[in-house]
Amino acid sequence: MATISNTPRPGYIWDATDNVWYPIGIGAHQHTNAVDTPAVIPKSLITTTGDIIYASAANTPARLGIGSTDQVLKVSGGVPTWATPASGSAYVGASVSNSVGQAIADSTETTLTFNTEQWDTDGIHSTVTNPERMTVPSGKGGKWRISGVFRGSVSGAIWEYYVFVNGSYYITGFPQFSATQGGRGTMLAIPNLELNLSAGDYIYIRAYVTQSSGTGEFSGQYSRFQFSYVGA
Amino acid sequence: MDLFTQIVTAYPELTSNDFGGLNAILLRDDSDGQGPYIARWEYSKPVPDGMKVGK
Repeated sequence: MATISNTPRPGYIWDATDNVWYPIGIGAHQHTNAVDTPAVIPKSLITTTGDIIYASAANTPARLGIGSTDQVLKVSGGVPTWATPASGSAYVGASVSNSVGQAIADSTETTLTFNTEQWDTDGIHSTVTNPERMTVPSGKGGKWRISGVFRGSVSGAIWEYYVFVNGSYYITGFPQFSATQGGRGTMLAIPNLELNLSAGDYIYIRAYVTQSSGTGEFSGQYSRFQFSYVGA
Repeated sequence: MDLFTQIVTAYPELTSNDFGGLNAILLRDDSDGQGPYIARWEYSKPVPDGMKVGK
């Protein structure tokens, strides 16, 4: 029979042949109150698929039940919590065109008008009253973007487009976008400009054709004048 | 005959470079049904006979 040390060990195994407990491990064994001060986090803390264990205070494990679909983990009051992310702001803007071409006399700043709306979320444009305008709706002061595509035609021309804000040049004497006539008689200008506007402000565009071979045509049916809210 | 052509007919020395932009003759059409008009006259000679500045 083996000699057994009386030195306390972390554990013992029972040997049925020798009918004796043999010590295992190195060091002394320890008695703890498994209920009040457990040495490990008990499995019973997590009860449901998706549960997360976190510290609700120092040395205090706690259970965080799984959130709902599409929720994200956030911090509130210093502890994690599931929360539904804020939904993106709804689009605000308008897109307009003209059902027919608009004659643009040579060297004459001409206000472009638009009688067709692809969309208008907030009464920004009217096809009847001041059909040239895009007006910033109530509560939407801030940054607004002018975009779209402007198509003109006449041989040999330079097309310039001036943005007007509340009846005045956005920048006096200089166009905000332009295009030089290509060889096939089609001109495309792609505006991309952001303005800082207040509710009630309105804008419109004037086209100017120079060095043309005759009266130009703004092809409103192939163009889009778009005005969209970027943010406060 | 459009307004631009009428003016360059009266003053043949004028070219498209004398129109638009800063310090130049400015013709404008507000698309309000009243047609084009001279919005600004920046030239050493007076506006041609029968014409005026403004609507």
